[in-house]
Amino acid sequence: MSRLIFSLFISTAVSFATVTVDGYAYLGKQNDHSGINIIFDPRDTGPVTNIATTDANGYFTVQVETKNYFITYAKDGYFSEPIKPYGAIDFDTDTTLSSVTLIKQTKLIEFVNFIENIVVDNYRKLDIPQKLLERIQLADTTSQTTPTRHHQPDISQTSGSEPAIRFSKNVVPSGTPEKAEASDQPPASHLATRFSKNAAPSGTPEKAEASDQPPASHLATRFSKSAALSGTPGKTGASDQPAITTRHRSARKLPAKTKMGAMVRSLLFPGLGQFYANQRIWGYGWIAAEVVAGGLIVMNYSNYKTANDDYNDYHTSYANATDPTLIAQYKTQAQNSHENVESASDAMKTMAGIAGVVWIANVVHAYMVGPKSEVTAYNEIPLQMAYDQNTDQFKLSISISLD
Amino acid sequence: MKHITMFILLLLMACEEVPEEVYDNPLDIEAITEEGIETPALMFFPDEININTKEIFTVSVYALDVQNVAGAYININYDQDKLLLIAINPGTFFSDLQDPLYFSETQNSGKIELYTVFFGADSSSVSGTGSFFSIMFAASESGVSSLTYSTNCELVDPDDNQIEIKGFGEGVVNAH
Repeated sequence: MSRLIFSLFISTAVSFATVTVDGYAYLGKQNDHSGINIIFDPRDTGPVTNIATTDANGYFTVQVETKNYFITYAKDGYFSEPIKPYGAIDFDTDTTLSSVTLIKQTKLIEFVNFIENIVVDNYRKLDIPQKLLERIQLADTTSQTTPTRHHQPDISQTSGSEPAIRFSKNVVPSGTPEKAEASDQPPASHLATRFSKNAAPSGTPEKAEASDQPPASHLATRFSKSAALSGTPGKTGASDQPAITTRHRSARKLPAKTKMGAMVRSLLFPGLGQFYANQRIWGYGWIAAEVVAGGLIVMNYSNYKTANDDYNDYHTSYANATDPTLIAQYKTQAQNSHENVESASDAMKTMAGIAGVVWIANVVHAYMVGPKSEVTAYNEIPLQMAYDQNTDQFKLSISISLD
Repeated sequence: MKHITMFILLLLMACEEVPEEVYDNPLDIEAITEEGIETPALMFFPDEININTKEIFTVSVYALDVQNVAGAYININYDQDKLLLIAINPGTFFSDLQDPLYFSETQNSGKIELYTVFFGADSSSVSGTGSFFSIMFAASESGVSSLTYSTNCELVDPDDNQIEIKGFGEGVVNAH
């Protein structure tokens, strides 16, 4: 009996024997290596999992049963790292594991945030229903507080890229001025939209300055945001939060229409500047006038050529004639032809002058009716898009200068 | 650019020069009167000849706006160094059923003396403008030479009365 009891004690002692496992795990390019979870997953006997956590120096220690374990090093925002080379180790004695360094998910997170920003911005630009927008914002806020969200970076390092704070709300959480400051930082990059935010909370010029940093890039649309925060520095209540005003500039790249453009076109061809200035009737009118003048020039030129040919013929006959009657006859005909030449030439010069005057008048008219520079397509459309923090709604306004 | 070219072409068309009106036929009474030659006159036709050296040309001796002429004595001077007399032929002024009587004297001295008499069937004289002779020359040397009438030329009526010749034309030969 005593042997049996002793045997049971020994077997129990052996089967529940524990060993101490320690080691170091580091975060790449970080000084604080705390928070890395070393997960010991038993290979043979069920889901009894031991987890060790590193301290600031990256050191961890844990008591585990003498079993065969899969060991994984994990931390949010970093790539998980299994133990190498086999992924599983038998622990039967105290063991010190080789040090492991986790790599930050920098590129992946930026890409995810990048896509997220595009989606949120485009939803806002499309003026989707408010409830749907609120759902997006709610999901966004939830994602900030979910620790297991893999693509969400460490809040201490990447709070500036949080979409909800960055785009829709200029929130300065009470008692957390550092985060509020960080939240004012613009996103690293945007494809379709750019926000620039001017936040000048009273008594916190440093934060305002920090919040003035412009975004890195933009392509199609630019938003400028101005917020004049007031109240307690570092603490912003709902009633204190002013609306964030954004100005939208059209991304259209229409050609600029100017008076000079109209004038130059009319200089090239009558009426062209009027067409350019959308004065089609005037354009047709000037073209018709110039065509008529040109036609009259051509017609008179034809008359001129005919009369000139006749004159040459008659003059030759006159010069060669010896009969006084023929001399007189040819001379008379030559004189008549010469008069026709002069008449056609005078008419031609007159019509050329008229055509020139018409051309110049058309140029002047094109300049007069040409589009004013104030209404060129390059000008900014006076649209104001505002986000009211109190009502949590976007507002659209348009302003037209009367001066 | 095409339109501008067209416009410039139109302007060039409009700038076409009107030919200068020149009436200088030596047999045109109005024209020679404007030049200060009065009629009756003896003229050369053509009065300006441009030829190449060694080429032959013909110039006619014309009586211009004469009345009742029955005979003529014509004395012509030419530059014998540059012009070579080839032939002399009767003109048409005195032509009728019977050919006119004419003869000439040439002494290789740069002078030609011509005589002609009208023998008409129905009339004894002619009036108006017509040629007495046609003279054929060759340009022996290059240069400008002239054909002139001597002032002792005479025109007479059937009664042998002298007709005043108020004007004498001049011929210019330009041999290249």
